[in-house]
Amino acid sequence: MNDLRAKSPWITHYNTGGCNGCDIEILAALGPKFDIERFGMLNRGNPKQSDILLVTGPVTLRCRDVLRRVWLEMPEPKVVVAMGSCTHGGGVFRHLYHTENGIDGIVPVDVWIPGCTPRIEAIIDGLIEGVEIWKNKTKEKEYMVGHSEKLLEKIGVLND
Amino acid sequence: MTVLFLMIFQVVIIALAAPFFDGIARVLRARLQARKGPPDFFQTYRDIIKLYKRGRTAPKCAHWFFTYAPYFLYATGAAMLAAMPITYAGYESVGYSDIFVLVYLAALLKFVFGVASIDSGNPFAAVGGSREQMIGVFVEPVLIISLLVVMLLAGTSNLIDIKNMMYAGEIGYFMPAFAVASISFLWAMYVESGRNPYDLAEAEQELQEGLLGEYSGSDFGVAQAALMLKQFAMIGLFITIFEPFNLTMHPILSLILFLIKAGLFYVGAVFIDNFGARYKLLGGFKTNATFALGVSVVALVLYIVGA
Ligand code: SF4
Repeated sequence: MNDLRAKSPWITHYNTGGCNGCDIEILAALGPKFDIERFGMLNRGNPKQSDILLVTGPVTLRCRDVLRRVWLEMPEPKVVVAMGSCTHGGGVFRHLYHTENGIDGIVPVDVWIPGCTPRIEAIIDGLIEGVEIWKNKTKEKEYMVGHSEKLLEKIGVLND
Repeated sequence: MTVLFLMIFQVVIIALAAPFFDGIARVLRARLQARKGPPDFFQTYRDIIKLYKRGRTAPKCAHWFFTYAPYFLYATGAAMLAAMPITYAGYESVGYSDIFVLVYLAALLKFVFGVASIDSGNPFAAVGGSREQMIGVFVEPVLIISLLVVMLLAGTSNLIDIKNMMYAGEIGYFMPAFAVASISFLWAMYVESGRNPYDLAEAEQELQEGLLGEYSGSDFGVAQAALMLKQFAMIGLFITIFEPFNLTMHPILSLILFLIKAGLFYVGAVFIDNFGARYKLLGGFKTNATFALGVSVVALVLYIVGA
């Protein structure tokens, strides 16, 4: 049953202010040549129905709370895949006045896909890795259930 | 008693088989777009199983209606399928299997769908909900008039009687009114099944999926299965009334035949689906719905002049 589920991961893609290079590569991964629907993946664009959150971009200050909110909206178990060097540590946007220098410390990340921009093969590899982690998370049930109001307030979701 | 048993039997079998045809349609669509598509024909089963196992979410502003709507949708879809005399046409007549029952159940399903989407408080869902009702406004007159012609020709609204009359050759395509009504009904059926020129089943947020935007996990799985049931019910209505090859009355054989025929319609719609762009809602409907309405009125006029 678990293996059955691992063949149908759905993806939400969220761009937190990158240069769009990564997003174009993701579109290519959906297209005829690299088609990730081979693995049962669909790009849903709706965090409530997705299992994998694919983040690109250096996380601008504006996007930070939205990113947390998107992450909280996804039902457990879920996996976060950070893609591109600017998501990892800022990349070409590092130390700019309006960015967070990467996703680290904002939402927990499971898979890092390096590159600027990563090759499509790397994206597919990272997503498969994410599915593997997702499978283990499902099996071991290692995730929080429910969020306290205090936690939500602390990470800036409740008081906006 | 036998009829009741056969009703439940056909609903269960069709509900179990529907995702398979959806899987075939998905693979075919991917191939037509030069993609590889899902690994095999069972992808929709996997999706639904996965959705059943996932957590559910509900917006804080939603009422109880939002929570129970998917189950209600599913029950309505199943009731529509049960009203179709697929397996029990050869047995005694039951009043439940009636065109009016089906039409009202379809309207109920549409209503619940719209209200649940508006109740979710999601602006996209609300837009999608009103869009769905708008489509209903265009389609329902065509549907009703074509069915009316059939009912007038047959002199009854009971589907079992109509099917038996078809079987005995009392009504059929030798009547011009019947033949013309089948054309307009085919159009209405296609629109109701939510395919491309009018709708894009797995597309942007404001279309059919958008209505379910706030659902997740098992709720979403149930709602998707319900939509599939509804599409099969609409196809089944066409097959029951307008399809000339009524080969057998044996329950199980006719169920298998029904599945093959409905599957052909469901999968064949992919070809229309894939070639050509989606219409703008009003622009597309104003021309198309007028034509279809014209065709159905022609059928009515043909009946009245006695052709
Ligand atoms: S990693 Fe490079 S290509 Fe990707 S969004 Fe950032 S700057 Fe653009």
